[in-house]
Amino acid sequence: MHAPLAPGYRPALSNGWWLSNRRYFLYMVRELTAVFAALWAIIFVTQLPQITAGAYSNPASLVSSPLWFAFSLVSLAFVLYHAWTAFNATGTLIYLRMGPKPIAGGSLNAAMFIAWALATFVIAFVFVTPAIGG
Amino acid sequence: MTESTIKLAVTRYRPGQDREPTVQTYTVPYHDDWVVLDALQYVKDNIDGTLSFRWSCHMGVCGSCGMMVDGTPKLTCAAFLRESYPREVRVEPLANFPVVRDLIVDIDDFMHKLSEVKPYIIREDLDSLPLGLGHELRQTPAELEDFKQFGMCINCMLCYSACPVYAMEPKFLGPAAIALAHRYNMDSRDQGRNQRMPVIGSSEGIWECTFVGECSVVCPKHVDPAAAIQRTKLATTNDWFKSMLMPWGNR
Repeated sequence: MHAPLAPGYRPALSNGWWLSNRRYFLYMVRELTAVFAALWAIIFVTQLPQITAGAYSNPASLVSSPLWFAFSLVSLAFVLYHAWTAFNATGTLIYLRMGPKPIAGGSLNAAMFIAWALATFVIAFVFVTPAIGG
Repeated sequence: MTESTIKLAVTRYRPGQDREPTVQTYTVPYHDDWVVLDALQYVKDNIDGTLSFRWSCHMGVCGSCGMMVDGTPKLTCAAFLRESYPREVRVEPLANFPVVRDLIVDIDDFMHKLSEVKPYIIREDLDSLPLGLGHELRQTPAELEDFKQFGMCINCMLCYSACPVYAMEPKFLGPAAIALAHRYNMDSRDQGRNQRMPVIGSSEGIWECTFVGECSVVCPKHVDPAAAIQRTKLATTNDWFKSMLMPWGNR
């Protein structure tokens, strides 16, 4: 016979807990995509002095390499996914009531996507287009 | 005609006898309108009287019969056998809690956390309030709407069982306690926000949450604890900015 045990058995969380359902997995993907966004931003900022000195036309520079291009594409996809998850959480995060009824979360999410589209438009046509001579 | 049956794979743990939980399989009659709790009661009444589990109302109100059903935290009085049939149903104690015996978990940690957030209306002016008929603390339907869904919590702890943050950091205040604190903070009749904030605004409170969101998915009463936590983070951040920009203000 075993010696008396302390009351209460606490099962440990398995290392693969995030694979046990789809939502846990998507949560981990959401968190990991932020790592790519941060990495891209850090590298970009450290390369900024070279970029302003014309590094994009220098084949020997990091930012003109195919590897950087590929990494930027992957990071862009991840950033878009991360932004999509963040904007879709707006209605959960913000509670606003106009009169007796709260504003629907879906409307708040939609407002964020519209603001995103407007910001993209402004950046593209006000800042980027003149810079590339369009 | 032979009666249809279904198998239940039930976790057993007998302190003093078992070093760790084991699985025992029972074959019970299958009925289309039976829930998992019915099947467990059949086992206890007809097969094995030593099987231990909590239950009370059998109608999704008391929050006592929460267990892991096929790996998901559910109220067993609301989990139908037909959702698994003809497969075997796996019944385990709620995840992330110490197991006391078989399907019964130790809820002391949750009860302590619940009392810490003071889930009741606090009035600073209670002594001077003229109480009685005609002196009720009135509230409009719109003000009720601000917190109503968070008041539906039945303390079943399914949200704690679904929360990987609580699993990794048991000191985390957890979804239900924060949702109930938020319910009272949002109540127009309450004046206890400043008493609750040191607990829910601590590092073991809202800031431990990484917004997995599964707490809201498993809630049987459609409460959204994840929203309560994120909104409290936003309110706390607003408070901090206000105190930095307007240190002379009250808040």
